[in-house]
Amino acid sequence: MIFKIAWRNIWRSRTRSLVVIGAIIIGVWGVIFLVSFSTGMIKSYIDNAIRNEISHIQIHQPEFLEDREVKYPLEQGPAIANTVSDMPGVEAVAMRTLSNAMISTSNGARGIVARGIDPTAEAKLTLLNEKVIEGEYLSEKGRNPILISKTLADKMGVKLRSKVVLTLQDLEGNVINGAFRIVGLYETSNSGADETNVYLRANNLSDLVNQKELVHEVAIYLNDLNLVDTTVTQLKQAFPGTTVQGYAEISPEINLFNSQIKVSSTIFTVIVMLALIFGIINTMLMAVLERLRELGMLMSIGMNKVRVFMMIVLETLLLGLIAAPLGLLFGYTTVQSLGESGIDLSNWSEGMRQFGISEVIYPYLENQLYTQLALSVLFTAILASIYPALKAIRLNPVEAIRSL
Amino acid sequence: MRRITLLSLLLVCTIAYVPSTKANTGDPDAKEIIRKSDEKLKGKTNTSTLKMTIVRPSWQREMIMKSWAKGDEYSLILVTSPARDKGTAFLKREQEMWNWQPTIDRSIKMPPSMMSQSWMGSDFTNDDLVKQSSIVVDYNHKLLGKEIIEGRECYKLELIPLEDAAVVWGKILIWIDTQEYMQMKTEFYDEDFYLVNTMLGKEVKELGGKLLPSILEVIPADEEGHKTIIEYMSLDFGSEIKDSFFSIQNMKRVR
Amino acid sequence: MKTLILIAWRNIWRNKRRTLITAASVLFAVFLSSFMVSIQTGAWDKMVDNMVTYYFGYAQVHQDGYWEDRTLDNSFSLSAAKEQLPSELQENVGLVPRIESFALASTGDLTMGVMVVGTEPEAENAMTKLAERVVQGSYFEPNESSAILAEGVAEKLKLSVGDTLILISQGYRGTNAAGKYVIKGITRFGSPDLNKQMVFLPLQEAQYFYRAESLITSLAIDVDRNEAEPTVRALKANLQEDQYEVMDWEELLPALVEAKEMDAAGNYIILIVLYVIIGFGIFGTVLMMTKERQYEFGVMTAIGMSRSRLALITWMEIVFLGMIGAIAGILVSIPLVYYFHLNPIDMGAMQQGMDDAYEKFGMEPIIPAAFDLKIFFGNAFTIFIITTLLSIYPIINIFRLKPVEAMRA
Repeated sequence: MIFKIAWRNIWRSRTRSLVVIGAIIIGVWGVIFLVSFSTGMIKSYIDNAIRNEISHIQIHQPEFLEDREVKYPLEQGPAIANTVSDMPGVEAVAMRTLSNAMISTSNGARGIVARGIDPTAEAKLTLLNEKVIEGEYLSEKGRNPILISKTLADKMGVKLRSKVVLTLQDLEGNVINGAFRIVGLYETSNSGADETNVYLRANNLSDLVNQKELVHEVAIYLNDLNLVDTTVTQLKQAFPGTTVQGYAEISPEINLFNSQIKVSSTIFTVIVMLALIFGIINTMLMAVLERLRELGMLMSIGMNKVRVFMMIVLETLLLGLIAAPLGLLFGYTTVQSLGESGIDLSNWSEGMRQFGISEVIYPYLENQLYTQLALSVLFTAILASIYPALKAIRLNPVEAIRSL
Repeated sequence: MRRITLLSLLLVCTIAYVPSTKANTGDPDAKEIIRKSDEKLKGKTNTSTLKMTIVRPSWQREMIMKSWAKGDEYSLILVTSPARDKGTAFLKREQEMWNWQPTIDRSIKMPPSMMSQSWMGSDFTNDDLVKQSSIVVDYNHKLLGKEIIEGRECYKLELIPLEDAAVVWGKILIWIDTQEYMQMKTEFYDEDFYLVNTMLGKEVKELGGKLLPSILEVIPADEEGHKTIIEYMSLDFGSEIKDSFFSIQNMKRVR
Repeated sequence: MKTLILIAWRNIWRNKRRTLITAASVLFAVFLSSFMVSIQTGAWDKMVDNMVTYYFGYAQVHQDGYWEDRTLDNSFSLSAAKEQLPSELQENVGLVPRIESFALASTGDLTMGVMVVGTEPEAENAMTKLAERVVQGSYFEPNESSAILAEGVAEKLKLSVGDTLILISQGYRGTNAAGKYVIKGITRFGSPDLNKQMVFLPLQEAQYFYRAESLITSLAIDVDRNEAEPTVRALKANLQEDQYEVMDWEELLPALVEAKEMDAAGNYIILIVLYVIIGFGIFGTVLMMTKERQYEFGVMTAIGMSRSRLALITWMEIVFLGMIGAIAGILVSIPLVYYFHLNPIDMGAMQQGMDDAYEKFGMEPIIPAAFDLKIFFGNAFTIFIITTLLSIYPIINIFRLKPVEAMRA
């Protein structure tokens, strides 16, 4: 009975209903967009650093982490890489041979870190191949290819095809030299790292140091950030005597920025939720106000207060049930399409354009969050109808009718 | 930071030691000139006192040092002036380089990171002292002709590094005295054949009984007003030096 | 005109409840957006302040060309530079002169590359609170020739307080630099980069070590954020351009500026979403108000009031409502934001593990709200404009109104 009245009421006053529906749609959409946007932002900060530089997990010999010297290889390296590649959630694994070295040209010399890599594995892990801006990525071609950054090349006064000499120490501490040809120049967003990292084939570097296979670092990229902790624990148990580090341990800065964004986006979501609540409360208040006469009439012809109250709340619920799915759909579509095309932040910031930074954010939302957010907005809307409903039933019917 | 193989410095001294070659009537081929002089270097010793002057556009500085060398494996350099640096010593043993600092009573092995620094502020780098590339093995040699340098007749040789050689130069031109096998001039070029450094031998005179350029100048090509001058104040050849002289212990004691 | 304004003003007080609701929605909008911007600004101000006073300071003076080629040979004389400093700077702000270069630190067989910074202990502590980071031993006392090193350096070289640290490097103009120093204290830096390479010496000691008597490589200016800009301007005006380079924190820490800009762009989008939601909230009330007044509008047009007059009056009513709401919003925001300015939001309480992340960097896990009147007025103005724009709806409604139907509704 009440249900029927409520339903009819909704369509009797179409504009009013549409406003409430609109408010809820925008609310659901706004919250979904906002949460997915800030999640996307966190993900892109972390992903960039993890993807390009540190990976989710790194494994070293404990001594290597202290001294970063070539004489502390990770003996279990290949075994670890084998085991890891079969573990669930592992997207890419790469082994690296690392050595401090000096790079010299006729123009001078600089201290650098020579990173011996497996080109294929590294491309899968850090997408290094995509960062090559001139020439080619490392391959099995050529005798001693080397990949250095554009920044370093400029500082050293070398270019593509130039020869450079690497000077490093072998396992016994003897100084050895090797000549390499620059096959490609790369550029990442981290210019500091660009200046120190040069890439060559792991076998070339191992040969120089006189060892068959020399691994110092195993880096792992997972397909889900949430798997990091459990995977770290598993690896620690499986390979005692090695140091297994998750990304937060490798780079506490990431954790700091991550936390900062997380907290501030929580605060912002709360603020937006508040704005939403006030918006709906005000709209509902107005809606009830407008109906004073009608409600007074209903009460004066004997409809009891509980029923009037129920009717108003039910009306909101019905409106919400119409609006929430629409908002959900609207939000879902937005997140899906923006999640693919991304939002280029530089379009929104003068400063970023000035600095020439372009950061594309891909909004992202976990599936279960959609319904949770929609439900919370719906709940908010119903809550927002309670106050005006209470106000309505406290009216003196006579006054209410007279008020117009 | 410019680099010049200090090896070449030692070369100058030891090549001069070669008792004036009973010159072949014809000119030897290019590789032969280089190989012969390089061979004659091995196992020989020299002791010298030299003055190094670092010249910069706005200032210059002098240092006096003693040097002992045996082949290209061992050398020891002791700074005797200025006062604050007195006693500082550098020891080169094969490919390692050690540094003794009397003020802190310590010797340290120079790590690769420090090797690229310029040596005592000069146009040499630490790395130049240990560079192991060989002008015989790592290059293709070609005799270009003869030219007069500092009033002396010299072979003009072109050295092109082999593809895989760990050599930073694109080309080296050397002028070697036809009689005394002294390096009178060396030009170092980068891979695009632009001149990077020039080394000049000057004021040939008798030192330790041999005819030698007594002054060596290293001039980086693209830094105007920069120069490092080495002047031999005394030079002695062939005195017996044991391998054990070139020890870390001795580096601290030697005067 | 005057009468119209008067009518509009009276109209809004004729239905107090409706007026209050509409004004309240504007008020909340102003408050929420002001609060949000204050938090956004405050969070970054705090972050920037943390990072800037970590080492660099808000402004630095170098020998011209130093930043490009950071070597001791690009150092300059402190006393000569001081002569050119604006006199008020010398009196009012702290100067932190430093000489910075790389050296080899060693003990026994262990060696590692470190950055040796000679600094004026008191001025340094005033700006970067270096003394607070000391976790072992103690901070410099006046006229001391000891060293303070970062924890990572101490760990790697297996050194502790009281041991001797050996430093070898290349000094000014390529001279030989060597020295040994008793370790006075060990500091902990949150940034791993700093933690594994910093060694501090008193300025004069470092100048002797580097053979650069009375020379410094950088002069950090210890000013507050608010004074940073005028200070940089004054420095640029006073110091000879071909001799010195003056850099502000944005030039010194480009990565931080990039992160800030990126976050600002994100915040801007969030703010727009907030405005959309707020705008819709206000629109809802305006729309309801219009609905509610259909009868009244109908009567007014029926008795011969011109539609444009009616529209003008309604528009003015909404402008009044917007103004009342905006002003009230400012009045409510000021004390509330000020409260959060004085009592920052404690992130540690909001999320587990936050304390740790911040503590590692020696920062407090708090977000203070920025207190800047510009924020309040800016947002109040924006919301006011949005509100006035929303009045287009009732205006359109009035022009389309069919009096008879409206009166029957």
